[in-house]
Amino acid sequence: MQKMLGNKKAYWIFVIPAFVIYLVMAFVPIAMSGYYSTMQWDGIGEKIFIGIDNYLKLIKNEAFLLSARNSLILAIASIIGQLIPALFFALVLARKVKGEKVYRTIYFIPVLLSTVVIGQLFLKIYNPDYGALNALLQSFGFQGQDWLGDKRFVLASSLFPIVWQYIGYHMLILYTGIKSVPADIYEAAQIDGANERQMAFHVTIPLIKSTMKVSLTFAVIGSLKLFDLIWVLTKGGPLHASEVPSTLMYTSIFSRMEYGMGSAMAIFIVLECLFFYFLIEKCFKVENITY
Amino acid sequence: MKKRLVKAIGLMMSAVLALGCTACGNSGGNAAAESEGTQEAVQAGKEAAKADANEAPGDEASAEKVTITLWSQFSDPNSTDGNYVAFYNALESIKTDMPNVEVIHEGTESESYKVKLKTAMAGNELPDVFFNWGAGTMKPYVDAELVLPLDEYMTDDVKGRILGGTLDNFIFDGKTYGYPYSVAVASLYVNTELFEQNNVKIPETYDELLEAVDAFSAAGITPISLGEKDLWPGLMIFGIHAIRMAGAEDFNAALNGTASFNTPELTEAARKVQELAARGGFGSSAMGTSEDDAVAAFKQGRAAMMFMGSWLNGDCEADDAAVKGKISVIKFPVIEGGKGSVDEFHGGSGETFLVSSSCEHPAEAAAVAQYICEKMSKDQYLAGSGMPAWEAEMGDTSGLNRLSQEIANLTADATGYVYWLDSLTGGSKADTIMNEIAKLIDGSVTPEDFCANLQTINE
Repeated sequence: MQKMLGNKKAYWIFVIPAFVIYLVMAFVPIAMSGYYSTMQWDGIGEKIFIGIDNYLKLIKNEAFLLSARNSLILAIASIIGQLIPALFFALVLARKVKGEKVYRTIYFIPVLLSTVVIGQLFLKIYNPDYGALNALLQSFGFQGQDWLGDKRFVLASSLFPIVWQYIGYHMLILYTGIKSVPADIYEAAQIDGANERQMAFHVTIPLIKSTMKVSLTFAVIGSLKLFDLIWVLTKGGPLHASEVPSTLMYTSIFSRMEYGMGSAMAIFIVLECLFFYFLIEKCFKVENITY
Repeated sequence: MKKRLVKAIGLMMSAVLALGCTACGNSGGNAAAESEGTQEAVQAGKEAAKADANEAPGDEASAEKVTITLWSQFSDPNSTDGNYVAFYNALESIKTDMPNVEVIHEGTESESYKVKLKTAMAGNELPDVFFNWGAGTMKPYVDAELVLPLDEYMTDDVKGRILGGTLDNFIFDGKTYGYPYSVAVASLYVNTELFEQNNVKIPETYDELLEAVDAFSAAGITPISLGEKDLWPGLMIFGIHAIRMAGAEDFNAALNGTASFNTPELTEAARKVQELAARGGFGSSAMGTSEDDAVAAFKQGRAAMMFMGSWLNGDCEADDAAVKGKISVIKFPVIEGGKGSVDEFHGGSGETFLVSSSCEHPAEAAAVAQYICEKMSKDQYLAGSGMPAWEAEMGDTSGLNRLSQEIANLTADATGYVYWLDSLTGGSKADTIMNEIAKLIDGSVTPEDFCANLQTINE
């Protein structure tokens, strides 16, 4: 390995293909978006250079501020609603419970389903006329609600399936992390008289911190750039109540034909993701543990 | 280790070389073709070559064929929607009626179609002929000179067959860019069975409409089915109120930017819409209902009325509709104190096929556009979609959709039209109007502020 990294020629030959693909597929489009975001452009006609006007308009745009707020709420909801249950399930499953494989598969099923399928499923559950949720509430004597049409409930209603869908995903990441902790550490802990709870909090969790960081990063970044489920469930409505930056970007570009403004939103999403990425990196400075 | 490395490098170099070769081969081929004309020609040429290869080799007639690429939003050949049926009829008959052209069609579902078309426009990769909406939606394409004016192909004979007023939304600066193929009109669809069962009078005045709304609300039936989740259905509700209050002429003026939205009539129209919503006119869950669900509710007899374009005819008379034979169409009632008359309608002619300005064979492309529009005009009428836009001998109309006939009778004395607000204004203006109307229906904007916000699109 040392020899490989020492050989500069080999190093570059192996890095360049991936680097070129990354440059063309990721960096160039972002740079192009940055360029478009300084233009007033309908996507067809002439581009007019307007500097940072799009950004100035963006921070005054109520719908956009609302969408940014919503995406932060989603990020927090994801951390609480995904990572905590995922960690719990992973800890339990990794302790060789009966039917470990079955449970692992069951928890992972929502991840395998297409987002559109999940969206359609929840559209039916939330339907005010024949939905399962209202039927359940009514059978207990409560009044049914228009879950996706009422701006008071729509955000919570649409966040629930998003959070729910990826619990299994994070569970699997954390589960593999836990599984890579050598058994002798647990044996040593057992000999010292640690119970299951103590082992979880004092052995497992400290040892899988780097895996947890990966999960946390995925959960936060995934929330900030979420598009699909919101689009299927509500299209950002009603009255932008469930809007996230990506859905607003889509309508800006393809309905309003404001390519410049849409690109400015895209750049905002990129910067927002980078900001949180570095924030997480900074807060979770953990050493990589090798066994 | 080193040996393996050398091997790996060697393998990679040869792979790169191989890739390079194929790339060269491609560009070489393209360069030769490009000297003949545009990228489209290359595409057409390739497709023609493909088509030729499929047929018997050496067939000289097919070699002279002009290939025309055609894009539409008619994605499903098996759809029962009148427009789809008519389009695929035309696509089939053009093979025999215009043997000198080969039409290569690509259909994409409506929402994706809009995105696809915009992407193609930005990349200057438009097909020869393509479906599009008129007025404000079309204007950016005209301004960017991406579409071809068709005046030189529109002989007096052709013009004579096109019904009056149907070209209005395709004319910019005196040039005509498209042929019409239908006149779609919105009217109030009423479920006569529900009206009878609940002893409600079919409304002739606006007050009677409100009484009907109250009666159905009390009976637990959605009075007017509205899919406001998709935003555009709300345009129709506000549109017809504005037409009744301000009159078609004044409302058109405001939409064209030559008059203000800040008028007492339009404010009152907005107030009426808001009151109707607050009264439960659209049921309790219109904001979260999609258009598909709203149509389904009406089709299943769960809603008493629906204000919608004539494309609903086919759904109402479909074999799987619980309401088949029980639906009637009426004119939206007049609002007292309003300037509009009962004979002013929401809708018009605004869908067409455009010809790309970078098209290789403009004459043939224009002929294809004309053929399809004229053929569709008749067939979509017979299939129960909209009114025809061309004069034609209709032949046996006994099998014609009952509701289409009713609408034809309603609009016989039409004095004015306001076209669909979203197509008319287009782009960000349409989006602003849609979102403002959603706020209005939701009750989160006052009628005065609503009009002031609409006025921002004219500034």
